[in-house]
Amino acid sequence: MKKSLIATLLLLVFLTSGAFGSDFDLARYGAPKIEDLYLVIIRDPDAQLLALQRGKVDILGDLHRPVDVEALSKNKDVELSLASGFHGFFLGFNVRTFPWNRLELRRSAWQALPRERMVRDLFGGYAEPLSTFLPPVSPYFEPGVTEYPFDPEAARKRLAEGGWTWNDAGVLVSPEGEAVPPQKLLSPTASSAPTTAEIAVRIAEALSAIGIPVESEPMDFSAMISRLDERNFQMYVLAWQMTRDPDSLYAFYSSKMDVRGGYNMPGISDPALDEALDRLRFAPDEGAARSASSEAQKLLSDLVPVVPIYSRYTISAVSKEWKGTLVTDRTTADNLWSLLVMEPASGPMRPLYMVQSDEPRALNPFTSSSAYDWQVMGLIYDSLIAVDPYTLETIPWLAESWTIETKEGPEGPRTVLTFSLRKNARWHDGRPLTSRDAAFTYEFLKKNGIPRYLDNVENIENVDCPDDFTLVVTMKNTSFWHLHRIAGLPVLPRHIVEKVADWRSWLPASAKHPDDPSLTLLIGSGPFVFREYRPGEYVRMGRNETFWLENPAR
Amino acid sequence: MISVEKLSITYKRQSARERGSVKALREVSLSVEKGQIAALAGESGSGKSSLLMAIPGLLPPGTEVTGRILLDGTDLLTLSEEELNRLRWRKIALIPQGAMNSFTPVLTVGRHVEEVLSVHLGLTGRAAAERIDSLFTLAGLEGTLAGRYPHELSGGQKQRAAIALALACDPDYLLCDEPTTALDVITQKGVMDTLKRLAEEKGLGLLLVSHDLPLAASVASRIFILKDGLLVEEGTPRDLITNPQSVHTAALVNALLELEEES
Amino acid sequence: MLAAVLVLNFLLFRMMPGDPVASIIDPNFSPEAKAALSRMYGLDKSLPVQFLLYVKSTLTFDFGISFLTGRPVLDELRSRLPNTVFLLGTSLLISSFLGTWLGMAAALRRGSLLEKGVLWSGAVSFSFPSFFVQLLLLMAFASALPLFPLRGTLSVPPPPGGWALAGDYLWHMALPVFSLSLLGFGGWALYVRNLMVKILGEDFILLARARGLPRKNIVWRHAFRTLLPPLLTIFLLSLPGIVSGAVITETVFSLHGVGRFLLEAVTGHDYPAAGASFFLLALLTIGANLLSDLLYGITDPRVRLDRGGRG
Ligand SMILES: Nc1ncnc2c1ncn2[C@@H]1O[C@H](COP(=O)(O)OP(=O)(O)OP(=O)(O)O)[C@@H](O)[C@H]1O
Ligand SMILES: [Mg+2]
Repeated sequence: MKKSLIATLLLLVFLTSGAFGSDFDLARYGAPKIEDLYLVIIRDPDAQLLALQRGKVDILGDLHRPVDVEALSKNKDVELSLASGFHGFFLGFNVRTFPWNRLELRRSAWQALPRERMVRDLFGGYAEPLSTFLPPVSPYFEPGVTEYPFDPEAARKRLAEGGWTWNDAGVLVSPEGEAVPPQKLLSPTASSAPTTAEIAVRIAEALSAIGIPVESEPMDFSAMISRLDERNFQMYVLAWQMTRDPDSLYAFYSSKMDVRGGYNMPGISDPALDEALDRLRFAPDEGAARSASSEAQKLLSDLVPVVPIYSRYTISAVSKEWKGTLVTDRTTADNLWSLLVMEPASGPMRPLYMVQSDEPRALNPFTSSSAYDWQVMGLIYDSLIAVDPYTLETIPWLAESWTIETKEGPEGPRTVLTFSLRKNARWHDGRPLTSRDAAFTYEFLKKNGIPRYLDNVENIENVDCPDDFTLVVTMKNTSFWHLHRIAGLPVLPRHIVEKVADWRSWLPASAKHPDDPSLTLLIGSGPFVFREYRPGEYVRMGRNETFWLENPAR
Repeated sequence: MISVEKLSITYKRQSARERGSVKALREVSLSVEKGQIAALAGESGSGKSSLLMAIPGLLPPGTEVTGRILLDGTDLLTLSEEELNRLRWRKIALIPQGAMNSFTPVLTVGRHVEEVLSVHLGLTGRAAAERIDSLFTLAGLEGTLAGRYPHELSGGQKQRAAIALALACDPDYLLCDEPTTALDVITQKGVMDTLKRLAEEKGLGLLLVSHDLPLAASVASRIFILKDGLLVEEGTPRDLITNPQSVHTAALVNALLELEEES
Repeated sequence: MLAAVLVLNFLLFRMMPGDPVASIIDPNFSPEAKAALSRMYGLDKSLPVQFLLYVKSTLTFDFGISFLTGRPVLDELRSRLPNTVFLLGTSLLISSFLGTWLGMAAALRRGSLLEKGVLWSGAVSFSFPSFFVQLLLLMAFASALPLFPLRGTLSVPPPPGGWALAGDYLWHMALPVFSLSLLGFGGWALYVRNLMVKILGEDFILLARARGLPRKNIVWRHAFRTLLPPLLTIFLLSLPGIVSGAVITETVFSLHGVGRFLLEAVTGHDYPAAGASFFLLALLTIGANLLSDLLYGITDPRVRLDRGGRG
């Protein structure tokens, strides 16, 4: 039953992606059809499920408990969609010290783990085993890497060939005669993260079976993170939300990131890898970026700084009372594109209710870093570029087109990004959106050293506006990724942000717009207009009647 | 007249540790008339309090009681709680053993008196206040003490307050369970004199429990002696002195004689 | 006292492993960005300086900006307190009144079915996880039998103001309040029953009977009045503790309250929010203690004169 459901879902995913091909047609989209969108705050997953089943809400995203998916799959009134995402769960080692400084041991550990079975047992199929360092949905995913399929015998054999032996207690002994000391595997507690804790136990069992004495050590999550941050550990399990771009590999595995607060927790330090990651980070163009990314992924699968375990599917459910959702193998139905075209399957227009699983907080674009804030602000603010829901490649949005050039300057080569902006984009209060707004935004973020955007803007040398619709951003160094870092930023209205006294405490959603009483200071150029936020209850958004993306001829 | 006929009391123990029954009283008969002071003496545990509490029907539920307790001809043992309530305090009042715990701690002693006045006599307001004042005076207490809480009174004051409370409704009979234990000799005598005066002046029938035989003999016109739940002796103080029936009584009588010689 | 609370509040959260910045697990945050965040939160300053700033902001009831929500802590508390106060206040009143009544009734009818019921419900309310009970109620009375709403304190969208809005609020709060009352009354009933049984066994109750007083006088004037002081004390001293009971209720019924806020503040190393919440909680505790002393003094004459001994 369960298996067949997954098969159907996956089939559906492949069929849809096959049916539409990968060319995404922006021309098919326009201003939203829905007039009122309510993001209803429901925290408890059981209550979310009940609300959907009772028709109190229409969209429920980010389902992650297998039982819930099972329950909904039997419900004829909702449509489930499932997509591979950027979630990644890894087993990490401290490779600075014995025994994990031994490459053959890390490789054997990888091979000793029955990942397929763990995923099947624990997730009932709502996750996939992961064996790569970038998620397979990434446009930069490199398939041609070394693999270590589950084979404990091969693992033992590799170790034996490397001169390792087993003592009377069955514990591995290095070629130098040093027995592997008991290893603690840090994990969150079973009460806070039951599956993770269970995985840790199973990993410990599997590794013990080949002679590595591992025991899981559940602890408070904060305590665990602080142990990792202090590099005071032997092994750990940790999940990441990875990004579309492969330059996150630099953050995870460059030896320069093995510092306090850096994410190279394993402490991998390899000259060839460092060199590839540097090239990846500072690749001048897309071609160079791709080849450096591929090389880095290959090196990682050889060096095994961590062992990928699994990746969770993103699953969402939409009421069948609505039609028009866009679903791909990489995007579930609860996406922006769906919100632009959804309409009632029958009958007159009515408000759309979508679950928001936690409070949006300050709704302050400068300080908010929670997904719940950005679920709201993402519908209000636009960036220069968007992401193709089929391929996850970059597509035009506020910028109609752009160029990336490398120019020689007095202090060496630098990347220059030139954007041509749409001429019809307007702020929600009717004022035109120009390149000066974008320039102001970037300069504001940089000038104030706003932590959330520090990595995006710190390398900006200079921003120019030759005219109202051209924007030239000169960087201090070369990197193809500057395009995504800069063009991915939300563009904020200069006439509003100019007057912000303190960006830290700015609460635009609770300040009235000076000219239009139906608006607040939380205005952008996006498809939805912010109307109201009732803490604890809901966020109400309205259709942006003057959205710049023109409606397709109907 | 209160007359107790062949009264037997058997307590049932229902605690988990101890099971079984205690025969506290076996076929005891005695009587008190109005205006008379009768004393009930005997060693500790002989069943004095049990007998006293049985009269107004205050033994713990489940206790086996046989015999008869006649109040002017009515058998109290056959009455319901409501019927008993009509007799309690109006006909038969009680001064408990060691008045320490007999007052509700969160109410002033005056409030206790006020309550019985209003419940039994319908007396409230000024009339009640005046009566309380006179009751307190009668019991040898200052009227201002009525505003005090039980814990704010000394043992002797509390005992006197208990007397005032007991006399509130002009009862016909007063059952006193060791009204003077734990008091010094002078106070003891004061309380006894008060009780004696009341019996004489108001025609009160007094059943006085004491294990202090000399004291009992000095006020009572009739003495009953209990031993292990049995009535072992009965008579006037003089009878007991001239013709003690048991060794125990004889010892007591000797002590009594010494006392009389002194005075 | 207050100084101790301040010092403890400050140290407690900072001594817990981890800090608000280190616990960020997001590849988009480089070490430099994290350091900048640390500066923004004022965590780069030395501990004594941080402490002084904390004392200043606490004593002026300013409390600063929450790390987690980015909004002033005071605003957060202000928008959340009314719901929590209503939820806990009404359910505490209901459960304590109902529990007291049932407990007294049980004590007066020893061995009856009612007494067994009270003993049983007391045991049950201690042993069933509130989460389970509340979820069951939600499924039963909001989903299977849709008499009550599934979430929140208001309909989405809410009805136009006035009475309709107040009615909507009450309708939304009915199930959470009912569930908390249900979970709470058993404990009260058991407590009251036990105290009452003890009081009914006291000599002064026997003597009240000897005086031929009507039953209602004995029960209310003598027994209940004696029960009242410890009952009030328990009532007031339980106030700070029930705040924790709010956490689960607020989660299950998606209520915007301080319970959740408090929990998230502590687990998320939100020093300003946690500091403020615990400071207020400490004030509540101290206040409840003072009030209970005061009321004990008023209701129990034995402690009126000398505060020291309650015995
Ligand atoms: N509630 C009760 N349950 C069981 N046994 C009791 C109870 N009350 C008294 N008894 C027992 O009955 C017997 C008589 O007790 P009672 O109190 O009548 O003695 P007493 O003569 O008043 O003694 P004292 O001079 O010490 O007051 C004792 O053995 C006592 O243990
Ligand atoms: Mg006695």
